[in-house]
Amino acid sequence: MVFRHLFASVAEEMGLALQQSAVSPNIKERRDYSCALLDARGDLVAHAAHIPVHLGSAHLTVPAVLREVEPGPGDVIVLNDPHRGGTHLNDVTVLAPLHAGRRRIGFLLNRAHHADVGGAEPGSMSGAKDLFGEGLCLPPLHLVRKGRPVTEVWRIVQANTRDPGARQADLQAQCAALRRGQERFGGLVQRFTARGIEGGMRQLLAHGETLTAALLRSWPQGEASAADFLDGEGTPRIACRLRNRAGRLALDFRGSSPQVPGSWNTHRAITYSALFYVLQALAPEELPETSGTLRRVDLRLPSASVVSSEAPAGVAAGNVETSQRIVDVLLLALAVLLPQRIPAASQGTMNNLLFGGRRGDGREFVYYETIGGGAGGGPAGPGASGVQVHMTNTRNTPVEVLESELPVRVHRLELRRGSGGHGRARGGDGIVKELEFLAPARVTLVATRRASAPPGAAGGGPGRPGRDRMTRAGKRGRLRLAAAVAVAPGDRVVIATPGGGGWGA
Amino acid sequence: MQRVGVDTGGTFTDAAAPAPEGGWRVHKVPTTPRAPELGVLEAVRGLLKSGGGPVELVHGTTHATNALLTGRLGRVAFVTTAGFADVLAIGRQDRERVYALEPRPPRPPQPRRRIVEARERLDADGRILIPLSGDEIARVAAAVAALAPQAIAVGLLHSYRNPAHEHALGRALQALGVPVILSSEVASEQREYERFTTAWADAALQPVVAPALRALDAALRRAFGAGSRLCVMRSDGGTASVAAAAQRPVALALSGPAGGLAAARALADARGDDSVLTLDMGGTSTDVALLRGGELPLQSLQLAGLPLLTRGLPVHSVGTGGGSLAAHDRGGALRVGPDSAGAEPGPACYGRGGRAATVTDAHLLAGRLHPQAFLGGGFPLDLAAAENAVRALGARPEDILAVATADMERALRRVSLAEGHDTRGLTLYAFGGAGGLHAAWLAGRLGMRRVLLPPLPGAFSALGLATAAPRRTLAMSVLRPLPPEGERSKLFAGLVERALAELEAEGVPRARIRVQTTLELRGEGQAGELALPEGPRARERFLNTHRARFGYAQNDRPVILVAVRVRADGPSASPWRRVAQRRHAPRPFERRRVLLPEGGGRCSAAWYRREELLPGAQLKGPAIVAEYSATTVVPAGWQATVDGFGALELRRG
Repeated sequence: MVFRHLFASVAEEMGLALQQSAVSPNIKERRDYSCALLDARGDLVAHAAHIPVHLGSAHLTVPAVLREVEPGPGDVIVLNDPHRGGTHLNDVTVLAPLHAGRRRIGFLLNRAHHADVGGAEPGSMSGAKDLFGEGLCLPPLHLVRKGRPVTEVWRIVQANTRDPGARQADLQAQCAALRRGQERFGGLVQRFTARGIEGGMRQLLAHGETLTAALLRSWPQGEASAADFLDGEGTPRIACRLRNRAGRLALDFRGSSPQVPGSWNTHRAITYSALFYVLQALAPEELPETSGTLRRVDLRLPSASVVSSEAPAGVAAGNVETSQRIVDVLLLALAVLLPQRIPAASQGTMNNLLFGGRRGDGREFVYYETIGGGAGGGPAGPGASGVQVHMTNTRNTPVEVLESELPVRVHRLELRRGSGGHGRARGGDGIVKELEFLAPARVTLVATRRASAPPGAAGGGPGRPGRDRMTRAGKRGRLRLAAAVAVAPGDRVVIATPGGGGWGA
Repeated sequence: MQRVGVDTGGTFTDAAAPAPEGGWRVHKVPTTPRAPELGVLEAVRGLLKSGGGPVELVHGTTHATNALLTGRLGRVAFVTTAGFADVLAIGRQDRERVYALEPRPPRPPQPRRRIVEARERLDADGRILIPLSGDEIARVAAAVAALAPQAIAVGLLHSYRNPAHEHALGRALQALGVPVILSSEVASEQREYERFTTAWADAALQPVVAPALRALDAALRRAFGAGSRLCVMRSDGGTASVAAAAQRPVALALSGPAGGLAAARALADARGDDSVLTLDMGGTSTDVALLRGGELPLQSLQLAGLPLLTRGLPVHSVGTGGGSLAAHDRGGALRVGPDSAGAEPGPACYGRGGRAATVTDAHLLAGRLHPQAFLGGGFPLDLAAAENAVRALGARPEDILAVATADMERALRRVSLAEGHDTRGLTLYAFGGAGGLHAAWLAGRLGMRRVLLPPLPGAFSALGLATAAPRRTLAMSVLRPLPPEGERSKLFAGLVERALAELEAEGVPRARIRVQTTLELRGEGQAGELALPEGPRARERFLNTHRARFGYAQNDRPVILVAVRVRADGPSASPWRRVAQRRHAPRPFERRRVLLPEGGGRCSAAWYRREELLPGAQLKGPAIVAEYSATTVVPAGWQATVDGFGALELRRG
C-alpha cells in the first residue's frame, strides 16, 4: 500500500511545518494540532500529528464548507463553528483545495487549538451559557482568496482575541503548513497523475473498510450496553447500546441526556472521533486512519442531545471532557464482548487549565494546557502513570519554557502516589502540579472525575478522583471547576489529577 | 604506526586497514559478547598477521547503545530541584503510540528512591530565588553517599541559564569519588526533561563504558606494544581519545553505525552521487539513513525512546539482521526479529549449537549463500542444521525472507519519506554482511533503479573507522536576541579554544584543524530552530531561510540566538581513488540452483567471486557474487558493473 505512506507523509510534513513555525506554546510545545488529507468528497485518507479528538471530525468538514463557500485554486478557507464543520471554537481549522489542472481532487486541512478566541473568560472555555458566549464563531469564510489574504477576516479574528499577535502568527503558520502540503501533494500528482492519486485514495478507503470489517468479524457477535455520567452541571448522562453483527457495528446513543445549558455538549463530530479512536486502538497496526473505517459503523444519535448537539449549544468543554467519557462508555460496553482486551477506566478527563491576564508592562497573556493522569490497569499489566490518555496526546509545556514565556512559577510537578486503583494490575498514578501566579490573572480549571472516580474493572478498585485546591491571599480553599476565579500575584493553585482504575481482583 | 578500524557488531567483529600495496585488508572474526575486547584483538591480530608494530585502533563501539537498549546500566543517583523528582518519570506526558489503550511510554528507568531533591531554585533568567546553602549541599551529599551510587547526575531547573548551583553541588559530590555529570555541561539547552535525561544517560553509561574502553586500551598496548593507542568513534562521525570518550559516554550512543555512514558519504562524494539511502545489515540489526549531498547533518538523537541532546548522524535502526530469529506470533503470523541468535550460538547453519531458524538459515536453504564460500571458505555452513531449524518452525525459507525484507522496506520508507524524499531517484548503498542479500529486492519494492555495493561491504564500517578523523562538536546555549557579529565572536571564542585544545591534546596540530561555527536561530516565541553558518547579515539570512522553509517570515519580531555551535575537525583524506575500467565479461566459478523471489524465481544462477571482478567487469542476473565478507544477489532483470572504485553497481532494466 504505497499510497498509504505517501499520503501520510504529506500530512506529517504539514504538521512539522506548523509545529516549527507557530508561536504559542500550545502548538509549538504541546503539539495540539492535527493535519489531514481528504479526497474530493471530503473523506479522510490520511491524518497526522494525531490528536484523536480531531480525527473523526475531519470528514464532516468538507461537506459543511461546500454548503457555504466555493474554494478555488489559491484559496484558504477558515472556520471554527462547531455546528458547521468545526469541533469547538478554540480549534481553528484552515482548509485548502487540491487541484490537478481545473479539477479538484482533494483537500488539505489543519486544525490547531488556539489558546484564546475571545468569550467571557481567558482561554474561551468557561463562563458561557451557549456558543455565543464562548467566543468568536467563524463559519466557513475565505481567509485567503487567489493567494491574497482577505484582510477583513484577519482583522475580525484579531479584534476578538486576547492575544492578537499570537493568533496572527499561528494562523500564518497554519496557512504556510497548507502551502507546504500542497507542494508535496503536487509532487505526488506529477509522479502518479491525478487519476493515479484518485485511484490510490479510493483503494486506501476500500482497504480501510475491508480491514475494519475483518476486525469486527474477529470479535464475538452480540449486543451490550453501558452508561456513565459527567460531573458537570446537571451530571449529563451518556448511554450507548452496541451490536456487533456480520462485520458491522451498530451504536445507539439514545438514552443520553438532552443538550444542556453551558459548555458540556459535543457536536456529533466528536462522537465520531471517540468511536474512531476506539476502533483504531483495538485494531492491528496496519489499519489506516481513513473514513473507510466509518463505513462499517451505523451510528444512531438522538438529536439535540449532549452527544449530538445543535446550534447554539455551547461545546467548549464537551470537546475535551465529554469526548473522554464517550470513550469510557464505549469501552465499558465493548468489555462485555471483549473482557480480555479492555483495560479499566483511565483518568477520563483532560484537566484543562486556562489562565490569562495582563503583565506589569501592559501586555496581555493567555495560556492553555491539559495535564496527564493515570491510565487504567489492564490485561497487559499496570497502568502507566502521569500520561495523556485516549482522546488527547498533547505534551506538557516544559517548566523552563513555561516560566520563560508566562508570568507563572511552577513549584511542583510530581506523580500523585497511591492514586491508582488496586487490582492485579494497578491503575497508574495521577500528577500533582502546583503553580504560583506572578501577575493578576483569571484562572479556570475545566475537568471531570472529581465527584466520580475512574472505575476499576474485572474486580479491580477505582482510581482516586482528582482534587484541586487554591491559596488566595494566604487562605486555602477548593478550586471550583469550570468557573473562572481572579488571582493576584502570590496566589497558587494545586491540581491533583485522577488515578486510573485497577484491573483484576 | 599502523591505523586499523575495528567495528564490533552483534555477530561479527570486523577489522580493516589500508594495505601497503594499495587497497584494503580486512579480517572478520566472531564477536565475543562476554568479553568484546577479545574479539577486537583477535580481529586485529588476524588482519596484521605479521603481528608487528604499534597500532592505532579506531573503534566503533556498541557498549553504550546496547547498555541503553537492554537497560544494563550503572546505578545512578540523580539530584534535582525540590518538587521535580518526577520529571524523569513524567517526561512530556505523551504516549509513544496514540492508539494504545494501555500505553507504555518509554522513560529513563531511574527509581524514585535514588532521586535526591535539593532545596534551591533559579528563575527563568537564571536569578537565584532560593539560594543553595552550604548546609543543604552537605545534606544532599550525605543522602547521595548513602545510596552508594556508581555515578551521579545533577539536573537543576534553569541550569542552562545559570549553572552556578549545579557547579556547587558538583564540587561537593566530587568527594564521593564517582563520576558526577552536570546537565548544564552535558547539554546546555532549555527543556528540563530532555536535558535531565541526557545527563542521566551519561551517568548511567559511565560505569559500563569507561572500564570497557580502558580495558581494551590496556589490552591493545599489551598485545601490540606500548606505543599503541585506542580511539573511539562517536555518534557525530568523528573520533575521540579513550580519555575524552570515557568522559562523555552518551556521545557514543550511535558509535556503531557512524563508521559506515562516514565511509558511505566519502564514497558517494568520490563517485558523485548526491543523495543516497544507506542500508547497513549486519547480524542483529539493520541501520538505515538518508544522506543528502554535502556535509553529513547532525541532529539530536533518540535511543530506546529516550531523547538525547547529543549530536549524531541521522540513523534509524530496525531489529532485523541475518541472525534475527523467525517465529510465529500468537495470531499465527510469521515474524522475524527482534530476538536474535546473536554471536553465540548464532544461526543454526553456523553449527555452534543454534537450533532456531534465522534469516541466514533461510538464505542458505534458498541457495543464496554458498555453503563452502562463506568467509572465503574458512567457515563452512551446516546445511542440515539449517534445514532442521526451518522445518521445525514449519515455514518456507522464502516466507522468512519476505517478512525480513518487508521490515526493512518499512524502515527505508520511513527515513526517506520523513524527509519528503522520493526514493526512486536515489541510489541504495548496501553494506554489512547481509546488505547485498536484500538490496536489489528492496530497491525493486521502493522503485529504485540503482544499488551500490561498496568494496568490502562486509567490513565497510571498519573501513570508515580506519579513515575517520578526530572531531569535536561543542555547543553553548545563549537564548537572547541576536547580538551583532563582533559580540558573537566573544561567545564563540571560548568554545573554539576548548575544541582546539582538546584536539591538540589528541595530537592534532592546531594549524591543521578546520573549525566551523554555526548559529542556531529562531523567531521570538517559535520552536523551530534554523542553523546558519556564522557570518555577516545573519538576521537577513535567517528571515530568507525561514521564508523558504515555512513560507513566511515575521520581519517585525526579534530573532533569537538560541545557541552557538562549534565543530572542529582534524585532517582527513578520502581513501577512494578511481582506477581505469576495462570492460570485460568475467567468468563464473560455478552455476547452482537458487531461489530468487525478487526476480528469477527458482532458477540456475551464475556464481562469481567478487575478488576476481576487476573494474569494468559486467555481468547479468540471475547471478550471485560471493566474497570474503558478504554475498550479493543480482536478480533476473538486473545488471552489475564494477566501477572505477571497485564498487559493484547494480542497475535494473
